[in-house]
Amino acid sequence: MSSPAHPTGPVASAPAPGGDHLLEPPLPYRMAPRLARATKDIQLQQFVATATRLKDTKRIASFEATFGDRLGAVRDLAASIKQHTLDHLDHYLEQFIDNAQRAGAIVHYAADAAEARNICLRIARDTNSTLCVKSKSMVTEEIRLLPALEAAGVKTVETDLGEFILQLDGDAPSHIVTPMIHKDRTAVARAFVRELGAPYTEDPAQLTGIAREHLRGLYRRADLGITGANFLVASTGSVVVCTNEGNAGFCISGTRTHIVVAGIEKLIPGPEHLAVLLKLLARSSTAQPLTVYTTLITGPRKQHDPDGPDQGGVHIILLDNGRTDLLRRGGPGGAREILRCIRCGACLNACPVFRKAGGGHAYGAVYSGPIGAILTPSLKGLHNYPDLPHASSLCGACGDACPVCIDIPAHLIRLRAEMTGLGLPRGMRARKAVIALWTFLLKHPRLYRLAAATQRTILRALADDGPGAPDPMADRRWLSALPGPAAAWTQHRDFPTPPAADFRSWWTAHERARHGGRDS
Amino acid sequence: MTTRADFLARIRDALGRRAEGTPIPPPPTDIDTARTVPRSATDLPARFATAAAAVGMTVHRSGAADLESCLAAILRAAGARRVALALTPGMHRLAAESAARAAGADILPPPSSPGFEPHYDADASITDVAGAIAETGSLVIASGPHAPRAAFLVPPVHIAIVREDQILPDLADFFPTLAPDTLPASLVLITGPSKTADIEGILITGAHGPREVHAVLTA
Repeated sequence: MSSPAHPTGPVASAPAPGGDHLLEPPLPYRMAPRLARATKDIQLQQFVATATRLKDTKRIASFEATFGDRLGAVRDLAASIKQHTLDHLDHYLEQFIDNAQRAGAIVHYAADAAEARNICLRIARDTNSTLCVKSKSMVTEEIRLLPALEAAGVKTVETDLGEFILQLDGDAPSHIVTPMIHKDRTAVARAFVRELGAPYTEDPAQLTGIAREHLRGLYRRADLGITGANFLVASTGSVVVCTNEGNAGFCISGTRTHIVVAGIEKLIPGPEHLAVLLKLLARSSTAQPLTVYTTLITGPRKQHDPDGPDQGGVHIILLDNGRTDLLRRGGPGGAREILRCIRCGACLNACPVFRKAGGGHAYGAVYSGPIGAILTPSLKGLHNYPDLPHASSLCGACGDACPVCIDIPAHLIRLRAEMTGLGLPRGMRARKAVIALWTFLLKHPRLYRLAAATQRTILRALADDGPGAPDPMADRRWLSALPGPAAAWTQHRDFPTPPAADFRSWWTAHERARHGGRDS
Repeated sequence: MTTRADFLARIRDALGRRAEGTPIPPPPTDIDTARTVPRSATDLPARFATAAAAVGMTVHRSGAADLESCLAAILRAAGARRVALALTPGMHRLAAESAARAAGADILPPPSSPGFEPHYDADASITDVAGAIAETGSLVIASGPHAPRAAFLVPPVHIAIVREDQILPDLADFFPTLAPDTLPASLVLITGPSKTADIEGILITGAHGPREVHAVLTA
């Protein structure tokens, strides 16, 4: 909490999240250990590659079929709606708060994760809630809400099928939209036998049925529902929640109390803007025209409504948690535009590095993939995540995929430049020394030639004998193991030696032959 | 504890603004840029039927006189013994009640807040809609005195009666009509049966909500 005490009395302590958690690792977080494991795990590589490639292809096809060559204009419009809202966020937040309160919702303000957790715990305590059903929400992962509720004695169940399985396994989401891309059906089958006492089956329909019945048993008894929000509509005070499974409906409407946790960047000016953003969100995520359930919640149930949360039972927690730091940096290319993100996951699916990294766990944070590589260091500090801005080949696929035109590659480059300014990461000194040596050699041609000849001789001597080639420029050999830090390269691929002849000798011989020919 | 004033002051400071109430330019309004079905489209029932089928709903066309038999046939095919109704009083409600009787099904009482009981025992529900969208094949369902939220969510089979004149062309025709004073507590766009693809990307219907959604188009 941002202030030490709360006027209504002491709040059950919100425990600090476990340091070894996949999404909350010890800081600074370095990617190498998890990357090393992921790149060796062939099964994981296949799961993630299949899941992401398919969605990437379907997204492109769906946009082509829907908007054709107007797609650029639609993305620009979506970007401008989100950017306009961010540029005037104080105005739209005021409007949202007024309208949400008018509709009967109770609005809370959380400066950071701990304060948001404490507000949730206080509501749970004040309503005597003991069983909470929760819809998938990245922001609740961000504030590590679930362990805090459990520690306070509120049994909390993830109800999205993927998150439910991850919770049974003590695992963490590996994708912001489809959280279980790193697991297959056998893992689900084992978890259901072990944790639910279900009969073993690998049939996805039966597995889904087992989860459905189990969770219905819990919905019937739950007294608290928690969801995130996809959008907050300023002019109506509505909260928009999108799901395909329908689980959010039980969490929103089937319990006495509904808590919404939402980052301030979720604001949009009016309901008319949903017509643009919703068209992009589901297509970008899963190539659907809309998610199956697109729910607008405007306050608790009205007087004669037969069901829905009680009067005073809808709570909206607005979360800052570092977002104003991004907001502060407006202007072209500034960090503010990162907050346009609608969490569609398209950049994750498009990214070859995300794929090779075996999904989100390698990013060591809730927000993974290209957007995570710029959002996480921006929210949590570059010094805490020094590898993330480098976790990209800058191929640009993420920027092309983004439905709200966030120039992710440009932000990666900006963050790299900022890191250099900060003298980060620690490997930077070695890198600088190499570049200094290189610069020196390039300025001294004789030394350069000597160095080149030396390394050619040494590398070719170290390499296995190659098959040879009639053209000395094509006569390369391959090193399968390099010593020292260079071993990282040969762990996954061979290193080519220089050809038998250097370019200068070849060029000299070539020119001599050409001129010799002309002379004769 | 962070107050509203503290919270907003931080944001205002981050935006470099001095005071509240600074006039701001209007938000983008050209939402027609994203339109995919022309406002003047005349074949809305056919467009809706195509889009709804594409997202996995079953579409039926029924004349006003056949509505009861159409509903009864769906209930019988679903083997429904207990039916939840969420319809405003009128012709559609009468047809739904007769259909339930004809199919030999009991009509469940409405749920009592909090919670969705007794809808967990329902085999099917029949609801009306507040609108429908041709572009996406969506049903629009508003909560209200005769429209419990449990009805479209809890029973495994959901049957929605859609009048053809309720179908709007595009999301861009629907969302701008929403106003704070007339919004229900819950407004849901339903676009297909409940779905999940969390296990190996394999599409399964009936994750938590209905396995089947039937849209009955009627005059």
